[in-house]
Amino acid sequence: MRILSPPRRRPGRVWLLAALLCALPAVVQAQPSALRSPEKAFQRFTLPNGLEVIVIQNHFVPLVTIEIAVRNGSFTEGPEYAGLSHLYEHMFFKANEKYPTVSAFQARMNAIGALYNATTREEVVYYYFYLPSKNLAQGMEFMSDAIQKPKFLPDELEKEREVVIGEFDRHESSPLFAFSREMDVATWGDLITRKQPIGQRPVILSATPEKMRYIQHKYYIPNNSALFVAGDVDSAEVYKLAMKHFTSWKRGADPFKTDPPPMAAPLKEKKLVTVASPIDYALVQYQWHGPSVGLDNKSTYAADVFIYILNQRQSRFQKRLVESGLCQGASNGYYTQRYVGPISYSVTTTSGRIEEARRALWEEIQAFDSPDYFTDEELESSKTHLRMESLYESEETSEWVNTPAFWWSTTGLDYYVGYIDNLAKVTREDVQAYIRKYVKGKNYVLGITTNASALRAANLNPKEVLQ
Amino acid sequence: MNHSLSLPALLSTLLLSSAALHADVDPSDVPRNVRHFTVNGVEVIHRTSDPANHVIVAKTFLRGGTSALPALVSPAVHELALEVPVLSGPQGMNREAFQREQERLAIGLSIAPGRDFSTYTLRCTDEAFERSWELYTGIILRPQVDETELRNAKDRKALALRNREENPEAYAEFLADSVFFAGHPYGRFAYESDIAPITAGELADHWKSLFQKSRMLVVVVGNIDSATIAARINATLGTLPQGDYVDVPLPPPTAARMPRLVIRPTAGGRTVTNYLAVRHLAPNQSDSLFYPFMRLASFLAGTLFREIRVDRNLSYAPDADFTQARQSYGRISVSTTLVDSVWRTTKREVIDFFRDNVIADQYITSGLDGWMTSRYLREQTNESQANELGRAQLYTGSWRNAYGVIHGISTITPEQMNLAAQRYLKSFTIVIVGDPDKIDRKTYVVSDFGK
Repeated sequence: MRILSPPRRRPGRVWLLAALLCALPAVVQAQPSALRSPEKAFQRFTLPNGLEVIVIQNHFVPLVTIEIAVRNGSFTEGPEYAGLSHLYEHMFFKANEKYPTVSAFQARMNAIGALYNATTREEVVYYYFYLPSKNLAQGMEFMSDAIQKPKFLPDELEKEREVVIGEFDRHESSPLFAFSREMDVATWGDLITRKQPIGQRPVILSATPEKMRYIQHKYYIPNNSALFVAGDVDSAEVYKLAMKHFTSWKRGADPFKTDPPPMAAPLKEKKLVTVASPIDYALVQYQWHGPSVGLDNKSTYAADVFIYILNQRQSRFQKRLVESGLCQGASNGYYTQRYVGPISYSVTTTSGRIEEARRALWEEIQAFDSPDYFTDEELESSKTHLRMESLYESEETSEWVNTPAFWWSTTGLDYYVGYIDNLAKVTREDVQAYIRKYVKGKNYVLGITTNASALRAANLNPKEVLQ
Repeated sequence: MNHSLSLPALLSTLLLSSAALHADVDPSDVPRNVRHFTVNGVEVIHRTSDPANHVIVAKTFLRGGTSALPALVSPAVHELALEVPVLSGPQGMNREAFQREQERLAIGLSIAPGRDFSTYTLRCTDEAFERSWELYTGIILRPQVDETELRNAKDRKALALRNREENPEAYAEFLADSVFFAGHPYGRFAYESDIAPITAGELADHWKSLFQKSRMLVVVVGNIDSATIAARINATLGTLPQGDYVDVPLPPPTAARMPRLVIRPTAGGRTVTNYLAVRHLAPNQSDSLFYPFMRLASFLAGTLFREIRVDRNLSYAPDADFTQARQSYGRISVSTTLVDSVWRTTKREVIDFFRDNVIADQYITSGLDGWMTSRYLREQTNESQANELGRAQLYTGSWRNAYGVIHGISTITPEQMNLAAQRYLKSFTIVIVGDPDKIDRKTYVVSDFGK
C-alpha cells in the first residue's frame, strides 16, 4: 500500500492492443481500436447502479489484473480527515463479511494466487489484485466482497493505525521530507490537507470505525467508482461477472454535489521557503499553481508537451543549467489535477553555487515564452516522446492499468481517450499562452534547501531573491 | 509464433543447447518461440513476441561485472565507462545530433552495471529498428568519450557518493552489503575519491575490454525474425574481437560466514525511525537446496509480514527476499521505531521457527498459483523477458531454466526446506541505522546465530 507523491510528469500511459475485442451487449460504448492510439483500445460499460467497468485485453500471458478505482483521496479531506483516505485503503485488506478475519482474507488471496496492493493519491484511491486469468471469476467475487463489505473491526483498526504511522515515519525519515512539507504549506495554505495523502499524525492516530464508515458511505459507492479488468480476459465474460457480483452494490448520492472540494485560491504573494536538510548539495525549486482539468484542458496538454521540451538533453534549458556544469540536474513538472495541479522547476547544485543556480533558473523561466525558446524539432520530439513512452509503458498491463484508473478519477476517461490526439495539436503559441497564463508574472513559491551551514552562508535575502 | 531459422550461408551459425534441458524444467513450461544460436562468434538468444507488440528490445549482457574488475580498477570506472559513451554517441557523429536523433526516434539506450554482469540495452519500435540498431551498435563499435559528458557524469557521480549516507534506508542497505561482503569481490564499491582521477582514455580502454565476443550474450525479444537478427549481428557485433574472457570462480565469502552487528546513527542526528538491514548466505543455483530455499524465502517473507506487521503492528515495511546470483544471499529489511522488538520477533517467531520445524507438505505445495502470478508478472514486457532469459543463461548455462521455477519449487520436500533453513538461516550480518542510544545491543547477541 503506497502513498504516491506527485510525479514529475503526469502518468500518461497508453495501451497497445490489436483489434481483438469481441462484441458486447448494448450497454457497451464501443471504442475504436487503433494501433497507434492505444489509449482508445478498451471497452467500457456501465452497470445499472452506475459502476463503470473498463476492460483492457492483452492475451500475451495468462494474467489478469482486477482493479477498483474510487474518487477519494486527500482532495476530499478537510483537517479532521487528513490521512484517513489512506488509512481506509489499508483497511480494505482486513476483515469483511465474507472473510471475517485477516487470516481468512489472506488465505483466500493465497488460494486464488492473488498478489495485491493499493495506492492513495490526491484525487484517486485504487486497489488491485494480480492473479492467473483462470481465476478471474473467483477474483471478481473476492473484489466485490472486499469493496462492499468491510467490517472495520476496532482491534484491526487500532493495529493498522500504527502501521500507517510506520509508513508516515518512513516518509519523514527522507532527508527532504521537511522541505517538501514546507513547500506544500506555502503553496496550498489552508488547503494543505487536500494535497497531502499521507495526512497528519494526530488525525491518523485518532481514527475510529465511525469515520471509516463515513468515508465508505460517502465515497465507496458504485457511481463514484470504476472497475478495471485488464489482461487475458474476454470482455463478454467480464461483463457477465460484473453483472453477477457488482450489481447488488447500492448507489448513493453524488458526494461532490453535496460537498464539492474547494479550489485553491491563487497565491497572494511571492514566498521564500528555506529549510536546513541533512544533505551535502542544494535544491532550488520554484512552484506555481497550474491549470485544472475541466477548467482549462488546453493548458494541461501544453503543460505536458512543455515538460518534455525542457527535458531533452539538447534543450536550451538543459544546456544552460546542466550541460554547462552549473547544476547536476534540472527537472520540471506539471501534475494534472482537477483541483489545481502544481507546476515546478528545480535544479540540484553544489552548496556553494545556490545563488548562481537560482539566478540562471529564474532567467530561463523568464525566457520560456520567448519566440525562439525551443525549436520546432524539440516540439515534435516532445510529442513523439509522450506517444512512444505510452506505447512502451503499456506493455506492462498489470502496472499500466493504474494509468487509465488515475485518469478516470481525475479527468474522466474521455479526456484520456483524446489525450494523444490533443497533445499532437499543441502549438508553440499554446505553450506560450500556458506560460503567460500560469507562470510569467504570477506569484510563486521559491524553495531552497541545503545543509544548515551552507544555508547560513548563502545568506538569502527575500527582497533580493523574490523578483 | 514459431519462426524457422533460415540464415544466410555466410553466417557461421550454430543452434545451441537444444537438448540441455535442466532437470527441474517441465518441457511444457518452455516456450517454443525461443532460439539460441551463435553468429560469427556472438552468442544470441532470440524470442519472438506477439505481432501486436511493436516494441523490440536488444540487451547485451557483458560477463564479468564489477566482481571481475582488476584490483586497481575502481567500480566507478566500470560504471562511467558504460554511461559516458552511451551519452556521447558513436564516433563520426556529432554528440548533439546524436542526442537529437535519439529524442526524435524515442530510442531508449540504457546501461546497468552489475556485480556478475552488466548490460547495455536498446529499446525501440519495430518501425525504428534499423536506425536504432545502427546507433546502438555504432556506439559499441566506435565509442567516444565526450569531454563535457564525462565532466558532468563525474560531477553527478561524486555528488551521489558524497550523499550516500543521507538516506538512512539506502545507507543501511549499502552498509550491510559492505560488511557482509568485506574482502569479497562483491564488496567492491565506488568512492568519491575514485572519481576525480578518471580520464577519458581510461574509460575508452575499459569499454573496449568489455565488448569482446567472449564476454557477450545478446538477447533480442520482439516481433522480428531470427534471420534479420543474425544478419545484423554478423555485420556489426560479429566484427568485434573474440577476446578470451572466462568467468573465474568467486572466492568464498569469508566475512559473510561470521555474524556481525553494526549500528550507525542517522545522518543529521535526528532519527524518526530505524532501518534494520540483515544479510545471510543463500544457496547458489547449482546447489540442491536452491529450490527448497526459494520456497523457504517465500515463507519467510510471508511469515515476517504476518508476525511483524499484521499481528504485532511493529512496522509498515517488513521484507525478506532472496537475491539469486553467482553468490546468492538473503536479505531482511525492516523500518521500525521498535527495532529491538522487531529483531526479537524475527529471530524467535520466524527464523527459529523454520529452523526448528518441518513444515507440512500440504503447506509447501499450496499457493502455487501465487508463484504463477509472479512468473507471469515478470514475463509481460519484452525487456523483462530478455532479462529472464539472459540471467538464466548466464547463471545456469541454459535459458530454459528461466521457466523452471514452478516445477522446481513444486517438487521439493519438507525435509529439504528444513535443511535449507538450518544451513542458511544463520551467521547474520545485522546493520541498524538509527538511534544507537535506544538500541540494546544484547538483543542481538550473535553467538547463537552461528550454530
